[in-house]
Amino acid sequence: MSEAAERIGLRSVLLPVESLLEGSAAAPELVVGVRGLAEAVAACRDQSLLGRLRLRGQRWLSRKSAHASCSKSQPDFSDVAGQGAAKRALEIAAAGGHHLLMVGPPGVGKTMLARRVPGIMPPLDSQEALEVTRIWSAAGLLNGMQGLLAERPFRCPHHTASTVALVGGGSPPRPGEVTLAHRGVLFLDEFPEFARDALEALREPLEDGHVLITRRSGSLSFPARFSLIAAMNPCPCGYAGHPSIACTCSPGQAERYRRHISGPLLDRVDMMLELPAQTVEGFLTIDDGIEGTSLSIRQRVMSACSFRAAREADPKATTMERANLGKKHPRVLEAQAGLTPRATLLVRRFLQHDGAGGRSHGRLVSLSRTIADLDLSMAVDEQHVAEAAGLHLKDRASWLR
Amino acid sequence: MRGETAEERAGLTRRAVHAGSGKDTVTCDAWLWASAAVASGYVSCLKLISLVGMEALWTASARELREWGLRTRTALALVAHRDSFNSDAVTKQLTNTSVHFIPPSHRSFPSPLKDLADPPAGLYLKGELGLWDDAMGMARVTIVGTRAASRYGFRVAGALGRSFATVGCVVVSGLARGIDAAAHRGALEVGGLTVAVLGTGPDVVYPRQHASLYREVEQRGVLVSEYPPGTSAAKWHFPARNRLMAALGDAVVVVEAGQRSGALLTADEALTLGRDVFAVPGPINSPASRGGNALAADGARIVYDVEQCVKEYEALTRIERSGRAVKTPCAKAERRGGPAGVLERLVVQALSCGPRSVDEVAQAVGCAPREVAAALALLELDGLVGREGVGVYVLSP
Repeated sequence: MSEAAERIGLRSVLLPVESLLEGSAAAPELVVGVRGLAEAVAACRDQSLLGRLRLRGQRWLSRKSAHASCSKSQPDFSDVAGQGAAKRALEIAAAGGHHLLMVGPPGVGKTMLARRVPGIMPPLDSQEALEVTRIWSAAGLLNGMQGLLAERPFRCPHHTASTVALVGGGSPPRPGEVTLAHRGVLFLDEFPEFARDALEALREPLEDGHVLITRRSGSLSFPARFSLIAAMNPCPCGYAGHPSIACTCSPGQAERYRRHISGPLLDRVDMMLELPAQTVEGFLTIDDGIEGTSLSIRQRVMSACSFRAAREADPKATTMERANLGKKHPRVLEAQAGLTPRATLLVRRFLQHDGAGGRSHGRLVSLSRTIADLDLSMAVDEQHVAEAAGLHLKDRASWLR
Repeated sequence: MRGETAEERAGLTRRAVHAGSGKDTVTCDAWLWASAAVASGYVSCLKLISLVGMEALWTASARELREWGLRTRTALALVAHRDSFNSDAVTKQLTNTSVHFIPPSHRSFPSPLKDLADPPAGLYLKGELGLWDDAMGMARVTIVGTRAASRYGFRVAGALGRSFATVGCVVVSGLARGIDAAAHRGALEVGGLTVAVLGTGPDVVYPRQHASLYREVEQRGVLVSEYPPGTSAAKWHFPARNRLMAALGDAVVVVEAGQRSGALLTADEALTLGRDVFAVPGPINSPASRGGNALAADGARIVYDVEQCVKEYEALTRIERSGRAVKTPCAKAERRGGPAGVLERLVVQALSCGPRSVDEVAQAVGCAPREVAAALALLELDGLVGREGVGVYVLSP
């Protein structure tokens, strides 16, 4: 029934809450669950009530489907002790598809955290599953598996990977790791150890979500809409800024190591997460609670995603897709993201303070928008901007100087 | 690439002293040659000059040099070096690189350098000669420290640079990474005069990252070196440079120094010359503060407050406010109010016990990490909080 409703162009379908799951299978955006006729009548009269009911239903549905699809095979975030700030940052990255760079001394759990990110991203929808399966089948990686892939890919190429292995190429052109990570996570551990050419080749897919490979026989475009998670030590020995272990690198050595990642590349990474060294007694005494399990994080991520979808259905709002950020006037972007006047002012102050460029502005706004989405808030306020700025701005990290 | 050995230099004193001292009526060329020889590694020239005088050295034969304690090989090489020396080429290079040469006989040669056991055979200056004369007529303080400075070190060095420049004192440092750069920048920020003593030729930007700082010092201060233009960095130049820094300042302030930092050499030299040494104490478990703390324990004057340090220094050297107009500092600290919100105040309180990560602050305050992260970002924006190391926050000094 809801399928037919979608075909003839109805905007909402009222259903009893008990039938919500069934009705949502065909047209999840249309259905609104109501408890009894009185609520149905009220919803027909009052648009805002209708919106609230729709949201309530969607939150319920996302909880339901998170439960259903939280795979047992994925490692869980509750395995990671402490690092509450890092988990929060990864939750934001998963909700907004932001690229993230983790910096920290050896052994703080960078790899462990990255491995758990696919498990908190929303499950692949049928369209995405089709895309991913098609790519994997073309690359010959399905190994006789039947049906569509259900889980988001997690690719972690070794740092000796060549440019072609990373972005694709060869003759005939084959997809590289960025394409295999389409709709999933590309994890690059020991980020500065990758060949400089290989890293620079990431700039295009990071920005546009696809790679164009041109050969004599013609050019091919491979999809590459992945979330980058990169990890690195603050210096070659790994202990710069460590509270108890002295760094043994010379200033020049450490600088060369950091210089390996060019400014334009760093500019395309939305978030930089510093992972401080944890003391043993510190992380053994932390009580993470239920908030820190992959299941509850995924629920929050999914409700943020459906909130964003509902918000963007409004023609006045805009998509915060990264490819669109550069095409808009900053003030238009701010207005469409729903920044309050005070939040707008705060964005300016942060950017001025850090001497950041134009790309930074779009990134900061879109990061703030994602954080507001996680709060299910239409407006982006100062709190959201401040949290985003703490994660976004890279210039203040003392070890980067 | 030193032209001689350590024993050779040690042996000089005994024998050369019998040669007697000639009167210095030598030309600028002789001094130009002597400083070129020093840059090529014949460091004992400096000691010979102070023992036998420049005139004797300028005309000495290889045999005489050997009598004064040089080895035959070194003596021959030195004479060959002198014979092949082309003063016209050097003078031309000086004009091309717009570098001034000041021989010891010149009136602009600073007398404090003559306190040294081995004063330089001349100074190469980049910048305005007038500014240099001003600087030598004013009170001077040398600020030194480690290249691998912590955020604390940066802040303190910057604050000291500003405060000393504000009271009309010249800030002398070495243009190195870390503390040196912070001290120079501090002085420049308030429009003060600063002197950078280099371990390379005055026209060589080293480290290269400091190109913009180099230019700023060149325009608004003076770059000085005992090495001719074009001399590139060598390991042994820097300890030698440190003795000049020690001699040029009326006092030396050591901000952060590791156990084997060159800043400690500067402090030792300063003590030998009878200059006052100030040490900025730091955390006892920080490797970068070990040397500075040891100095304090050995009886250096302890800097427990930037203004106190400046006052104590003024009392020690009784500097008169010089005629140079110094702009008032922008005094960011004075404009700062306290933290705004309740959570911000709690976060500041938690940080007052020492450096903390976001998670540790969150635990101390009893809030979610996300709220603490936002509060820290705002405090950072207001300059009340900074980052020290990876993911660790500290209160700004």
